Amino acid sequence: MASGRTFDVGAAIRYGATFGLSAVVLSVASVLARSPRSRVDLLAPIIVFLSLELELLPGLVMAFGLGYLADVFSGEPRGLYWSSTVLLFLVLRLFVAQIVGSRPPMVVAIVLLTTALGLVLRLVLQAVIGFGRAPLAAITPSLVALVVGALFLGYPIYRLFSAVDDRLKPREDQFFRSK
Amino acid sequence: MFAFFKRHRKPLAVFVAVLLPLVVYRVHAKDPGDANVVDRIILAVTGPLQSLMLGAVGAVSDAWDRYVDVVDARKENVELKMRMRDLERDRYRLEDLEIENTHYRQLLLVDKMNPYADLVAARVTGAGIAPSSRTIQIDRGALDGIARGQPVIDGRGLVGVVQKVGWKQAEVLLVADDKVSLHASVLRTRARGRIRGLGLQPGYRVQLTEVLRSDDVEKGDRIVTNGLGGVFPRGIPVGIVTDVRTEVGVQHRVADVEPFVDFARLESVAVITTEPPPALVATPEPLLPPSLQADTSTTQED
Repeated sequence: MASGRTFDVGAAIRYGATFGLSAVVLSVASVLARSPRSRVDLLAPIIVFLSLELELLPGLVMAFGLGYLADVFSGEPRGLYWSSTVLLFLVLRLFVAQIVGSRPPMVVAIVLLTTALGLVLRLVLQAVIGFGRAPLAAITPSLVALVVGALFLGYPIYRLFSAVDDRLKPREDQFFRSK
Repeated sequence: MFAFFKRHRKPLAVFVAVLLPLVVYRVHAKDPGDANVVDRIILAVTGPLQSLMLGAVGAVSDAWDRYVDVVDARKENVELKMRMRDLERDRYRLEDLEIENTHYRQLLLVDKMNPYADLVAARVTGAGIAPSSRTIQIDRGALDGIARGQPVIDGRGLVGVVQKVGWKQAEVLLVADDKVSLHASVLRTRARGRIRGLGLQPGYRVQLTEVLRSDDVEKGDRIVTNGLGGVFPRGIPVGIVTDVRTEVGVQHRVADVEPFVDFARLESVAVITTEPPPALVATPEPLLPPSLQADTSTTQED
């Protein structure tokens, strides 16, 4: 009797949809980023969603994939957004997700925090293991857009991902029926 | 070995997930390199998506631009309203200046017509504060050659006589004051009389008194100074007759005279500083007093 682990199609669709939606959101972000003053950080609310809504391992895998995706769109050397996304996910997952809920003001605050933390983290990575200096002056034109984007787009994007995930998440009754 | 990985899969996953991107970044930090297969797949999938988004964002951007245009238009509207108010204020100021300019032009004309007379132009700075006062203050005084008793005119006609003189100010007693009495004549018939102010009455009315019953004075006659008394030169327009009365038991006739000068709106005057005053002052044809202009136009239409 072959009773090995079966491929969970539902989970694949669920995470695939999240990944696809991330690609759409990052595409929008890349279109918006034509002007430095409109460079909003749409990656941060997705990382927040992964941290607050997914378990550690699935979330980590998603963050890993999302980081790679973000790397493709970032225009920075490969690995910067990838590593920072994974690190941000872990920080949020280990410290923030344990103590806060998902009410709108809290989500906005966490998105704002993630945006700021991501900015600092990437600067540190660039300075420490990158090309040796932090391009602080280069990001100043985008600072306002980053803050405004976090304040006004953070929660809607988070809710979008939550809504899609809720639709595709296995329900409790289905869970018991399958048992 | 497999059991080890199974038991420590979480820490190992975290370790790999953190370390791998960092190593990749370390390798590519100074040389980003070309896109690999995975990158190209991602770009191939998201490329059309981006084009689609570009169109959508462009449409939103256009809508935003239109919204901004509307907001700008509203802002512009407010600015234009403010500008309109400014222009309106400027227009009033220009009208004011034009009126003032007209007065000065008339004074200049008087000055040109009387090369032998010295005229000092002055701005009216105030008026007597007493209700019964019929005086004005001007911004010229002794330092400008102004002296007590000098006649004061404007482009329309006789204003009054200098009563008090300061260094840079002077007080002018208007013809309408009841203390004023000066010799004048009817321009058409040369009939003589005396102009007296009715200062205690409302307005700035004057009367031509001491006109002989036999003299010809009619409504509409123009009254000018006749040079008698030595204070006012001959020929300065005073006003126009609006009514003539012959009171019972009195030998003289009395004519109500509407002054040419609008005393309530005087802004600039000229003081004749020539000593002694010239015998004759030529003036341009005086305009009718405002109160009589309507009557004349009605008469002309009739």
